[in-house]
Amino acid sequence: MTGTLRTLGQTWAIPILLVVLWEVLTRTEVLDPRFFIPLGDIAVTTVEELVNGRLGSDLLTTLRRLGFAFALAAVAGVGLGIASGHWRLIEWLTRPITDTLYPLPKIAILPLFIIIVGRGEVAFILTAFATGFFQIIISTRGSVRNVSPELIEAGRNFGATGHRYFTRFLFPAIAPQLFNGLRLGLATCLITLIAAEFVGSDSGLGSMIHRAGQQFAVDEMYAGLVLVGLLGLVVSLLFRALEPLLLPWQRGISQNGTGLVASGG
Amino acid sequence: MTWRTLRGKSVLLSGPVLILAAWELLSRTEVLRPTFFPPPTTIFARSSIIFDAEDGLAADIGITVLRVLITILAAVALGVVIGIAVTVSRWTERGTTTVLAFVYPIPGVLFLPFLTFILGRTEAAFLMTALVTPLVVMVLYTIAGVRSIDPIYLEVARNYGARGTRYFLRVILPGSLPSIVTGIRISLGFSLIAVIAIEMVGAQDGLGRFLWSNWQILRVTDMYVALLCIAVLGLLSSVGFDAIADRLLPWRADTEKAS
Repeated sequence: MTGTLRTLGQTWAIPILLVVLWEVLTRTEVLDPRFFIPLGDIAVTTVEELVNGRLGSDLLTTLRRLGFAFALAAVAGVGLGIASGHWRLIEWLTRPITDTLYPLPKIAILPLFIIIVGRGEVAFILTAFATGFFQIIISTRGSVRNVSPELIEAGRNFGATGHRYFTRFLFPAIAPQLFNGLRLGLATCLITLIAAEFVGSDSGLGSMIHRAGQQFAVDEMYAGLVLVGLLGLVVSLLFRALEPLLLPWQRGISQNGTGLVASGG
Repeated sequence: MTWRTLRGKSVLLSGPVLILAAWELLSRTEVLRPTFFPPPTTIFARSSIIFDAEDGLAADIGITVLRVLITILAAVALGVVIGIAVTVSRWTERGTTTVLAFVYPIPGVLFLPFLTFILGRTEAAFLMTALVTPLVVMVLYTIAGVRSIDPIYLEVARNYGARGTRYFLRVILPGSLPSIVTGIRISLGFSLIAVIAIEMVGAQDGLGRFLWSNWQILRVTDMYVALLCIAVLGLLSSVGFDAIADRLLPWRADTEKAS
């Protein structure tokens, strides 16, 4: 018990110290009060804006776009990923495209999407979708390829053929890696979506920070940044909480965080 | 060149060629609107603007590459030093990781307004904005690299009297190098994303600016050319980097597989 308490202390000591330091330095105005605002005030602004201001609707807009983009990316990415891991022909057709476009910063396609589908929701959803989709299809394909041939043979011998091969054998075999791919996919989806909103939208968390920047509303800008950070934290905590529920047999195996952070986008 | 490798190459090329041909056909027959999807041959022909003195896309490419290089160099130098420094104690290591886990999911470009408040619309503000995420990634990967060293090596090194700078330069740094190199690869990607995004909203030059200003006057073909350049930069930063890294650190491939 003292061990976990110690870990808890080690994890939070520096963050708390930083928060206190920030509070002290801003209250005493050692740091320029025009740019550096006490956290207490930021929290008050955040709550106020959430309840009365536009921040609440901006948050909802971002969440709705994220939901659509991630759902599409997950379905298309997992589907095509499994198909291209399983059938060579589909891999030959998709792989050159996915491998070329994966390292392309998706934010660069945003203007093109805006021209093609108009400056509506769809352009931003498509941009976020593209990011998550490539992340998920590549990791799904890798996970299918990673299943050992002996295991596949054993599965086949025990009668896993046809659709049962996918539902009863392949899916459980790749589930842990699939889950990790989806987690990274959601994270990159969120990052790109907010960056895209910052660059081109007039609603959503990203655009809210851009607006605050143009109006020199420093407190609102901090409120936006804190909210984006929290959103990222909640998303990753959500996946961490879901893992033991969805993949009970993985307990303890994947504790030592595989895949530190997402790449590409 | 054997039949096998030839077949491998032709298969690899057949997918994109097929798609480009279909695109060309659909665009020429106006099934796809050529305003939005100009035929690939037109885009390639238009690529000559890269070398055009007047439009100066080459200059924009140069500036974008320069920005990416500066950020990545700064991120590696700072990130490795900070990353190794905080592993001195579990307290600093865990604490730093917590703080960075909070900063990491914030897209770097969001720090642009804040940094332009302080520094004005200057190159320094752009570069520091682009630095945020790569720096976070470098610190995290350096910490992971130090942690990945087998404790036995550390003990042996200690017993043979490796102390101070020698201990860090001869034991810790080489030991964590594979993870650091992976970190650099990921940082390069983030740095490119951040630089392009910053150029779109803030800077007066660079590929992102070129893309954005051509978007405003609806010169779609030029946008595709800019996208093509960005895609090539993206490929260079991932596949190109891998090729160089595998040559410089031949043991990297093995550790990649092991992890």
